[in-house]
Amino acid sequence: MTEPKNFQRVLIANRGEIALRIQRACRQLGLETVAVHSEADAQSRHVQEADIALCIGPNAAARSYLDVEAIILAARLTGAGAIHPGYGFLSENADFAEAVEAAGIRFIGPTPAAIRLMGDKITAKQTMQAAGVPCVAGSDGPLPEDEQKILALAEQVGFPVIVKASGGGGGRGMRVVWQADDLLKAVALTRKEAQQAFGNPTLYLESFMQKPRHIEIQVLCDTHGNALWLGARDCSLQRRHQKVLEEAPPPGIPPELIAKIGQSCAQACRHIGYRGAGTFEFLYEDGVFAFIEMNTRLQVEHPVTEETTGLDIVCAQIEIAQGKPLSLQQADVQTIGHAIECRINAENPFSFAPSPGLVTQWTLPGGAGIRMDTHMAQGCTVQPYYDSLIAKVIARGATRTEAINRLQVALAEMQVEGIETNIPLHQAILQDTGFLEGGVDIHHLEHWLEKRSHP
Amino acid sequence: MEKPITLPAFEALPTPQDLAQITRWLQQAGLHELELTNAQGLRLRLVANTSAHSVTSPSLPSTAPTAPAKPTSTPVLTPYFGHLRLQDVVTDKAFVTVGQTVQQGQTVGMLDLGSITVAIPAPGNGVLSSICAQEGDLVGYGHSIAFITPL
Repeated sequence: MTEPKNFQRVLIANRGEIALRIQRACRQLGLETVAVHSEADAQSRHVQEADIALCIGPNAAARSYLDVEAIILAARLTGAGAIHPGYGFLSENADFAEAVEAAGIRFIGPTPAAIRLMGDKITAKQTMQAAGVPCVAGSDGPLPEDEQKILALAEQVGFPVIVKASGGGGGRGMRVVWQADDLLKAVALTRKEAQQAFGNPTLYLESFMQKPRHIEIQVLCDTHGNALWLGARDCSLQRRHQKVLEEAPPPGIPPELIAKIGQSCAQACRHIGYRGAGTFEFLYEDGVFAFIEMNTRLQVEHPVTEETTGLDIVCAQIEIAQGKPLSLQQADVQTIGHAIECRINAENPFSFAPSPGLVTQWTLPGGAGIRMDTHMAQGCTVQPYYDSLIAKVIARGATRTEAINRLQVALAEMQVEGIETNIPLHQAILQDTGFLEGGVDIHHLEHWLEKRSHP
Repeated sequence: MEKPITLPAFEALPTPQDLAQITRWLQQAGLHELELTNAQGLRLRLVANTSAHSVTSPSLPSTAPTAPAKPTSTPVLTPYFGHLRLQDVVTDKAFVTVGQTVQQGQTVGMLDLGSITVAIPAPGNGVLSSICAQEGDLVGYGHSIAFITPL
């Protein structure tokens, strides 16, 4: 393998808080930044502060943040030697990563082959099984066409089962089936939807875990064969498969159990020659971990891992892309204390309707153990064209109780006017008995939302 | 979205009727913003709300004048991004000069992206009243590089 050429200038192919987060990491490493943006984001903070800012298209993401050709042309034009895709947009698009590298630009992320391997949920699962990562019992491959064979497979796995699209992920393209009578209809319907949504009708089937927690392992791998796991996160508080609040470490799971699964993730990374940061997502129920999918990119919730390990994951991503070996070994990775992140969205806290508009007041919390990742400021406009995440409030404490306490004070201190936010929702979650006990399952928040009284 | 973002001191501010007409044209053309520049380098920037409802601000008359007023000028906006070329590399001459009459679609400049070039067409017929960007500038999408006064 040839040594990658080092770069001095990084193009950030993203927007919002993560673009600013990446820009800070570049600055800390002495690198220049190029902000490519849509017309709507011309006034945003990372654009204003970039060494080079270039408007590459109109507000529609398809013609700006998702425009592969424009982003690569912009990188060439501005002399950027590397592209950081952030999360969302093009971050898990193997064709984009391939086009970037074909243009002689470093992609700050895994190889296109690794993205492709993990993007197909069947090959991802087969790869993980081969590498010794525990997986949910299931069809271990594409569902056959033969109806009797499908029924036999499901009976063997045991009902309830979940039928999933190979091209899906992140909660899309799946259907739960409780009894044999409903199976074939569900398969036909999911297959049709998968063809429409992902252009790939391939399905697989898994045992449906009824009350699992969502636990994930952060990994970091260099191009010299070193693969580290950086502890686990609990992201069970979700609404419509979207994470709302995340924490590290997961409460109530024995550290030796997490270490065992972490080691198997690091081993799997070495097995597939993984490069950069990544996340293995698991369902966890009754002491059993079951792999669901791997995210081949930086995650929104990466700060809770940073706060408990003291590492800078974004700086590490960039240094890995520069070809540097990781400066630490697994024994050096220690998780200390507890960290919790609240995703603050511009939305109505009851109806969840997006609430774009002018921010007339923006007062942020602070103090010991509080970290704010945000691109907003007073006088900024929350754009209606993109997702509604406007800030992440992260609290760290020696204990989970201390982190929760700091978070409660921080959220009470945070003042946002002009738009609606989900701060009241987070405040209510932080008072919930189930959450305070720790270890709630992935359905807890949805059930809690159904029961709560409306204003 | 806020309609006018910046309103710097402008010696000869367009009349409210003109402003109303300009914003209507912006909306009809699906354009997002308009920037007017005068000889002293002062700029007037209008940002249209391109969503379905009307873009005229409450302080402006909401009814169209019976005879539409002529705008002072129309911007020539870049359809892509790149290094601005105002001179034709083949003939070594400027594509257009100030005071010249231009036709809709006529090339005012080019965007040089290294491997490819993209023409910047005139949005309408008129006289090229000013050029407000320099040869070689790295310009973004939707940037005003010149203005045309309709005849």
